[in-house]
Amino acid sequence: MLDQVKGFSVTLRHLFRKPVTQEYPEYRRPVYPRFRGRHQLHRHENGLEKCVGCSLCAAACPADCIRVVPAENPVEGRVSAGERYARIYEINMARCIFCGYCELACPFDAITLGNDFELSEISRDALVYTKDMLLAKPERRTPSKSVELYDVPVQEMERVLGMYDVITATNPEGAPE
Amino acid sequence: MAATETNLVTVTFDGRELQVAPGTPLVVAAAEVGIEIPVFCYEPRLGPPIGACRMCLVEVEIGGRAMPKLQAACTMTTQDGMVVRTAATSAPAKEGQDAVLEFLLLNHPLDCPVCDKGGECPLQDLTFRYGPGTSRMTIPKRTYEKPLPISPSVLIDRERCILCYRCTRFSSDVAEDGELVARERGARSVIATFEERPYVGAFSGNVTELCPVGALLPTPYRFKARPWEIVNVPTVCTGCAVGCNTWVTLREGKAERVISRNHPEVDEGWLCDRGRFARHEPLVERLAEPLIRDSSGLHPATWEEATRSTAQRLRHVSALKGAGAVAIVTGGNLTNEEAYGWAAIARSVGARTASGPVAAAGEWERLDPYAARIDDLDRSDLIVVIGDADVADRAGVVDLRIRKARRAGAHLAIVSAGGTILERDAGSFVAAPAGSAAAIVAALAGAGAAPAGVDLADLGARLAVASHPVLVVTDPIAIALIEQLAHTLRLHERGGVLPMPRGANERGARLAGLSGGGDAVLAGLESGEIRAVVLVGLDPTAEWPEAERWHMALAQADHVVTVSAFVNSAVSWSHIVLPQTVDHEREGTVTNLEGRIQRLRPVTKGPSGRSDLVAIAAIAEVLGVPVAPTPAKVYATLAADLTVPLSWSQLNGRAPLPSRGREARAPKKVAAPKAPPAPAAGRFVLVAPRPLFAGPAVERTAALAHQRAPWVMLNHADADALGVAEHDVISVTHAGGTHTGPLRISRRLVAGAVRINWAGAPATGDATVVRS
Repeated sequence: MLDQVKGFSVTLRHLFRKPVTQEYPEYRRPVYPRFRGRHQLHRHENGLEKCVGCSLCAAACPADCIRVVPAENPVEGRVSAGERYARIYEINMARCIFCGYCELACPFDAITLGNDFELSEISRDALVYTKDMLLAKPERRTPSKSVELYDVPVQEMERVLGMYDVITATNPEGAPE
Repeated sequence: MAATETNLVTVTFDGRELQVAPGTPLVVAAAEVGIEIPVFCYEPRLGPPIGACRMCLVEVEIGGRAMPKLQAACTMTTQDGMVVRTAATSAPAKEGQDAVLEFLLLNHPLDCPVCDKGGECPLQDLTFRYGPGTSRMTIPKRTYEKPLPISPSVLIDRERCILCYRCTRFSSDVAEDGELVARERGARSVIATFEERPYVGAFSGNVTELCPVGALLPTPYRFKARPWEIVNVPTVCTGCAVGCNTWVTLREGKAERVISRNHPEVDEGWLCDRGRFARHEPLVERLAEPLIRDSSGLHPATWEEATRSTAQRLRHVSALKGAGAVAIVTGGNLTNEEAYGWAAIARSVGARTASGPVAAAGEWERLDPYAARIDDLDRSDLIVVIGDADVADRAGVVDLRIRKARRAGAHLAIVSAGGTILERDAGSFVAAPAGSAAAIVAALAGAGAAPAGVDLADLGARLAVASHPVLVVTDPIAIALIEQLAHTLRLHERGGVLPMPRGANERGARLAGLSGGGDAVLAGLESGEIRAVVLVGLDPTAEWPEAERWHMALAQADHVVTVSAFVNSAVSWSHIVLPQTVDHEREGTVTNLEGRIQRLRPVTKGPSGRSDLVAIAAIAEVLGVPVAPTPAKVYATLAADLTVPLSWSQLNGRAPLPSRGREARAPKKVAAPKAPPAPAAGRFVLVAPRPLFAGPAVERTAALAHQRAPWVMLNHADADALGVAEHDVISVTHAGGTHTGPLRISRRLVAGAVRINWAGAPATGDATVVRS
C-alpha cells in the first residue's frame, strides 16, 4: 500500500512539471555547429565553381552516393577554375550517411556539409540532389547553436536536458551528482 | 644450363645476396630478391636503358671500394662482388632520391585533381611512397600552353612532363617513325613532334600508356573517368588476326577506352591506333531489332518470329531444292562458338559455307607443321616478307615485332611491289610486279619461274643458310603454294611461316566447321543452284572482291538473311535482318593467326541486348540441332571435337598456344600460278591492299579521320611522265570506283603501278590515273 502511494507520488510529481518533450516542428531544436547535414557546393568569389570534378569525394564516399561526370571546361564561359568541371554532380541523399568524408577528401574545399537535416521527401527520386540544388542555398534552414555555447558542452547539455543524468567528461559513469 | 651457372656473379642488395648473370641491370636484379628500386624512364621494351630520370639512384661498392657517386641502377649492371645499398638502407641514396624527386616535381604543376592520370600515375605513386612529403618550392613554376594536340588522338601537357624520354624512345626505337622528338635544352626541353607536324604513326597511342606522368594522354578518354570509378575488363582485340590482349575500361555502362594487356607472346604490350581508338560509337545506324520483309518493305519483328522464320526458310529451301541450295557466308569476324553454331545449322540443312572470299587461301590447318609463332620473329635471323600489303596494314603490332628482330640483328628482306612503310628499314628489297606474291612463292618453292625482272637468287641463298627464317606472307594467296614453299625450305625443322588472314577469325571459323570460300558460293548463286543465303557479319558487296558480281547474284536469291550490326547495303535487299553484336559486346573465343585461342569477354551490351549465340541457338532449335546458347558450353563441345587441350577456364589471362605436331608430309605439287595480265597501254596496275584504318568502326571514329585521308602513290618516273608532282591531287579510276587524293612519290614502287589506300571493296586489275 505504502509502496503504491510512493509510486504514484512520482507520477503526481511529474504531472505538474513542465514537459521535457519538444513539439516538432513547432519547436526546432538547434543543432551543434559541427552537426553534419545537407551538403553544400561552393563557388569562388568570381562566381566560378570550386569543384573541378575530380571525383575524389566519390572515391572517399563509403555509401557510394556521389556521382560525378566531368567534362572539359569550355574556353568561353568557364564553369570551374580548372581544366575540367563537374558536368553532373549528384548526391543521393537517401543513401548518404552524412559521414563527411567527401568534405575531407575535397582538395579544393568545394563541398562542405551544412546543418540541415530536414531532407525528407515523398519520393526517392527527389532525394537525388543535382549540382544546381547543391550549389543553391538550402530551402529550409536548421538553426544551429552558437560556437560559444558549443565550446562549453557540459553546462549546455545540462541546461537543455535538465534533470537527466548526463555522461560527460567530468562524469564518465553517468552517475547522479 | 651449366655454362651460364658457372658464369653467375654474386651481388648483395641491402644485405641480401643474389647469384645473377653478369650484365643484368641492377633494377632487375634487385627485383629478384624482392627489393624495389623505383624507376620512371626504365622500360626494357624500349631498348637499352638511358638513365634519364635518375630516380633509381643507389650506392654501389665494388670489391670493397665505394664508387664515388651515386649510380643509376638501370644503367649500372651487375658485376661480381658488387654491394648495392638502396635508399632503404643508405642515407646518401635516400638523400639523392629525395633530391631527384624534388627536382622532378620542381616544375610539375601538381594538378592531380584535374589530371586524368591521377590515381594511376607512377609519379604520384612513387612520390607518395618515396618522396619527401613536402615541397620547398615557393617561386612560380614554369608554364606552357596546354593541352596541345600532337595528333588528333593524343594531347601533350608539357608542364607535367618529367622528360623521361620514354615517348621519344618509343617513336625512334620501337615504331621507328622518328616523329616524336625532344626540343631545346635543359629545363626548357620539351617533347614535340618533328617540325610541328602531327604524330600520325599507326602506333601513336602507345605513348599515352608509356608516359609515367599525365603529360601524354589520349584525347578520346580526356576527363571521361577516374581510375577508381572504372572496371577494366580483360578481352581481346578483334580488329585483325593478331588478337592483341586488351583491357577495356568500362564506366557507367560505356566502354571508354582500350589499353594494352601485355601478352609477351602476342603483342608485347603494344596496340595499334585502330585497336586502341576505333570505336563503334556513337551507335549510328546500329540495328537494334530484327526486321522481316513483307510486300511493303522491312518491318520490325520479334526475335522469336525472325529466328523461326529464318529456320523455316532454310529448311524449306533445302527440302525443296536439296542439299547445297542454302549457303552460309561469314566474314571471318565471328567467334569460334558462333561459327560452330552456324556450322551446325549448315550441316542440318546441307548448306554450303564460306568463311573467306577464296577457298584456296583459307586452308590454314595445312600450314600447321610449318607454322611460326609471333615470337618466333624474336629468334629469327632472317625475316622474309612477301606481298604487296604492308605488315602494319594486315597485322598491326607484328610490324613492331619485325622491327625489333631487325634491330636485334635479323636480316629483313621484302619482296613486294614497293611503297610499303616497312621496306624503308629492310636489309634487302626485291621489287616484284604488283600481285605477284603467288608467283614469287611458287618460284622460291621451285614450282615455277620468277616473274620477269625479279632476281630471287640472293634471297634464295639467304633462305638456304638461315638457321631460323620466318616467312611472312601478307597477300591472301593459295595456302597450297605456301605449304609447298615451307616444305621445300624445311620450315618444320627451322623457323616457320606466318601467313596473314584477312578476317580476324577466319582461321577459327574454318576450324569450327565453316570451311569453304566465297568463290564457290558466288558461282552457285550465279548458276541458280543456291537459292537461300545467310550473310553473317559480312556485306560481300563492300568487303569482298567481285563486289559487282555479288550484288547481281544476291539480288537473284529467293531468301537473303543478313546478320549485321550496322545498316549496310546488304540490308536493303534482305528478307530477314538479325542484329549482331560487335567487338566489345561479344563473349566467346577467337583464334589468332598463330592458332592461339583467346577469350573475348562482353564489356557492354549491344542495342539489341541479346547475344548472337542465343539467336543462333534459337534457329538451331527449330531445325532440331542442339546448340547451347552459352559460349562456355559450345566451347566445351568444340574443344572436344578439335582435340584442343585447353579448357574454358585455361583461356583466362594470357592464353597459351597449344603445341602442335611438326610432322610434315610432302605436299602435292601445285601448278605455278598464272601471271596477272599486263595492263593496257596508258593504264596502271592497281595496288590497293586494304589499309589498317578501314572498316565500320574506323569510319565512325572522328579521332581517326586523319588516318583515312586518301592518297595516291606513283613511281617517280611515272609521275614525271604524267607531269605531276608530290601533293598534286590525283584521281585513280578502277573497277571499284574512283579514289582521289594527294600524290606521294616513291622510288621503290615498281614502274607502271599505282598504290592507293582504298578502304572499299578489294580492288585489283588496272586503273587510269589523271590529275584532278
